[in-house]
Amino acid sequence: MKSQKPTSPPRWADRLLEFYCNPRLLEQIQGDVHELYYWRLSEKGEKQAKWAFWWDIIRFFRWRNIKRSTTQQQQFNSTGMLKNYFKIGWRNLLKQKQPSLINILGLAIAIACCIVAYLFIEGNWLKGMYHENKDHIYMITHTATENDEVTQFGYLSSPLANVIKENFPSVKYVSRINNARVVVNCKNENFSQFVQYVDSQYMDMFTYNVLYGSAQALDDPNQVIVTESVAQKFFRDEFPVGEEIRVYINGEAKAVTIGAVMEDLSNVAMFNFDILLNNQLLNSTTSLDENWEKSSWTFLQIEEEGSSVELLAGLKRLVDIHNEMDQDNKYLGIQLEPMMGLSRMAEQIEGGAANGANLAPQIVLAAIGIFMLTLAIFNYINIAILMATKRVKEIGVRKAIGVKRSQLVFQFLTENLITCLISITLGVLIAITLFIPWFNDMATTNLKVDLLNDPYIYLFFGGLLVFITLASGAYPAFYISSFKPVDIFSGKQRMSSKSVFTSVLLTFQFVLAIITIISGIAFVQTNNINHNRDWGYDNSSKIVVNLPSDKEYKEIKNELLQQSQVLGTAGSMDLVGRNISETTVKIGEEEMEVDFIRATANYPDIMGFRLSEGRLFNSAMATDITNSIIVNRTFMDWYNLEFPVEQTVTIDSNEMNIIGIVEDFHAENFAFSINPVVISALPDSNMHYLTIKVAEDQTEVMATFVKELWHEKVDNDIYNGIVQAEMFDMYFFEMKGLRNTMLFTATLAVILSAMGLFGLVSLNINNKMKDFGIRKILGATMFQLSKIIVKRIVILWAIGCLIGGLLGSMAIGALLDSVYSFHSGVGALPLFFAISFLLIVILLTVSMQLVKVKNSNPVDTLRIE
Amino acid sequence: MKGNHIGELEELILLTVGILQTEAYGVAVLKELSDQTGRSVNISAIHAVLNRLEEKGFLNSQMGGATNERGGRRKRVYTLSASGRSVVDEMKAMRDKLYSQLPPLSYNFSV
Repeated sequence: MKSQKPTSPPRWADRLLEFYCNPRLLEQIQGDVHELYYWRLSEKGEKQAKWAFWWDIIRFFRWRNIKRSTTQQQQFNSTGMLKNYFKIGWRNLLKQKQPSLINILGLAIAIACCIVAYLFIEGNWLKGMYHENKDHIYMITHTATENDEVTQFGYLSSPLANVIKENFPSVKYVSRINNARVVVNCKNENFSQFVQYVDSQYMDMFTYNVLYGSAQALDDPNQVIVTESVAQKFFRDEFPVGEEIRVYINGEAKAVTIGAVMEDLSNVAMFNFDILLNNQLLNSTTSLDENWEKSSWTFLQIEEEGSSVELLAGLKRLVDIHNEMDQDNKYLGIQLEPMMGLSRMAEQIEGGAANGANLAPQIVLAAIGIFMLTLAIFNYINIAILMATKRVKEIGVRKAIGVKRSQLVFQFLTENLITCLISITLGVLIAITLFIPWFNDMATTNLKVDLLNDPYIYLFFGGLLVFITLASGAYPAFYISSFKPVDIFSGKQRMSSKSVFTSVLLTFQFVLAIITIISGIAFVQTNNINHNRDWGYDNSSKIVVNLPSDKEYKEIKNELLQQSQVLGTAGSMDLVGRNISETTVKIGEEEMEVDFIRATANYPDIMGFRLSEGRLFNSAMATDITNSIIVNRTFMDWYNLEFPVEQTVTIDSNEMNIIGIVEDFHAENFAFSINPVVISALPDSNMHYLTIKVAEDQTEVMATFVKELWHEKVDNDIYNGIVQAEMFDMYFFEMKGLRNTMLFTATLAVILSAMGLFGLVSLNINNKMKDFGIRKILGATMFQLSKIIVKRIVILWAIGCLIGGLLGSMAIGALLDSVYSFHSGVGALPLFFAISFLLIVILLTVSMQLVKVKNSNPVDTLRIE
Repeated sequence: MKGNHIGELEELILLTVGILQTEAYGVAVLKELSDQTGRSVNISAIHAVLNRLEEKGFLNSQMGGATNERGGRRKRVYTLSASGRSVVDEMKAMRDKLYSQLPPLSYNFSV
């Protein structure tokens, strides 16, 4: 006889059997193993019986016994079912307009953000993907030793291109590419443009969208191709093809005609230029075909896939040819790098065609996209669960007539797919019409959604669709389909909006909102501080102009000094605020890199540097020009020096005495911290820049005057005059862009979480209308009623503030560190402001819904329909 | 006949089913086998062999009564079919025939 209280076989083993076993065989198999178990239990004891049971179950796992779907189970009319799912889904969407709208709009906004982020990142990593022959184009690089290290260089000795063209029949096209910034004269107006000198086969190799003229224009070395926006700048409304412009190449003016106009380059284009010129224009002065010391980027296109093998075999010969011709710079090897791989190799190839992708903005943008998507998806989950409360009966009926849970899940996911499809379409529209133009303006990029040429964007959309559908739909679908029909119809199944899950999602949204608000405020604050920051010198009433040569320098200076409004001028080699050279100084044995300003003796005085100790230069003293320097306070601190300094400072093997110390000033914009600065005096000739100090309030008048004078004297250079006080305007503009991005993000995040909260509270209140009605009849005040709703949200807000505040101040602090050298960090003010701002938004959102409670008449809500 | 060839375990189980008459199901076969021959075989192997023999037509089966030990589950009871019986007979006859030809044991160590 068995023991009085028989222990049952291991439950999990039994379940495993039930899970895998063919239902038709289950009964006999399960019966046998159970019987065996009880027999062993009485014979051998519990432990052995359990182990043996497990072992039996495992041994029964044979192909014959395993459950598999039979043809009988698959004969459903899927098409009809799916059609029905779509129809029901669409009706449900229309029936609950407000929550649906919140879901779709929220997702669309988030998707639009993601699209911008995606396009930006794509542009960095998929450079060159619009070129038709992209898979057949290679860049030729070489390796050589530099500073005892083997380095790969992106350029190649220019004459080698001809050798390649002659010796390798599998090479279809070769082109050398040289970049330069040149002065272009069109209709007596000078422009500074970024040009690319190329060989005529360049246009066969790289596909560009030519708008007017012939793509073969470059076959004639005196023709050029310009981009659309440049053509517009040069000729405004006139038809540009055939017009003549003059290009200054190495100081020599050359007349060329516009052969063609091409579409502006997108962000994904391999190269960046305004004008394409033929290399032969360069040849007359520098001879690319013969001078082996000249090097250019060299690209080639092979005939077809696989023909690069012959080429690879011949590369060794090229190395020998080169090393024979140019014995000073020997190559170790020559490589072919596929064009599409260049972005990824940017770090590795020195001087290559692709820039190293700057990771920081990509990470920030991706983070923003992910933040928004998370917010929208959480909204969706919360609202979808509550929306389903109106449909529990439908679920009950479906289940009662034998719909399986997996089918219900599938149904909800199908409905979700509709919502997500609409959202993606709307998101693309929002991105194209609003976000991308805004972003392009702000970040001066040329992003665009190119649905015709970009195969990857479809991958992205597809991936996004699947991800959003599953991420937002999976939980609601599984949760809702778990209801039991009995509970639904007996009214026991109450949808509780107080589920922990909902609370966690809501808190997480608050955290994200807080972080973005903090970042927005912190950036605004830092920008304001930087705007009002003391530059460390008197930046008012000064104009700086560039000067191409000594002759013009003298002429302009003398002319200006006769003006009554001009208080003084000083020449300099460096431009304080933009362009400072660096040098190595040595005190004793200690070497250091410092900023180096070379200027005339009166420069510190004209610039208004604040003298702290010692004296400024005296142009009358010969020693001041030859061996005296002025340093800034940081220099003294770094070297731990006290004034007067007895040691001399060695610069380029010249011994210099420190005669004075000036207070720290910002020699570069605020992204850079203050470096040690050395100012040395030069004789008053051949300076690059002339700083003009003018009478107060005369800056604008004189700026125009100086410009006119400059144009009178100089004819083949670009006027780069600037008012000293506007030196950082570009920087401020960039920072303003960044600040606006952060503010924009914060606004969106707040709107998204408010929208979600709005929907959630609205559905909650609708579910509780009867409850409120009874309370109202019993005399509850509005305050008491609000408390029911508000209390929980405020608690969640508090938790969100705590987590968000901590995370935010750490993350945003790190972000500020990477962007600014000077910032006040995330202080109490942004934190406090963020927290209270969010609370106000929450309370406003909730009170908008509470009005509904206030206006409700208990008679309506309590009447039994 | 090629299809009539059966393995040793199959033969044993076929015999056991015959012995058990109307009480032959998985566990009973297992117990009988271990009692009579001392061989312990895993239950899953017994099921597999029973199935195989049924497919070959040597066994018939039907769902039998439920017992308490099995938690009220029914068992599949096997009976020897006519062809099963003839296979057993054939096997025995063949063995006897072969055995009878075996020379008597001679303890002749001188060779």
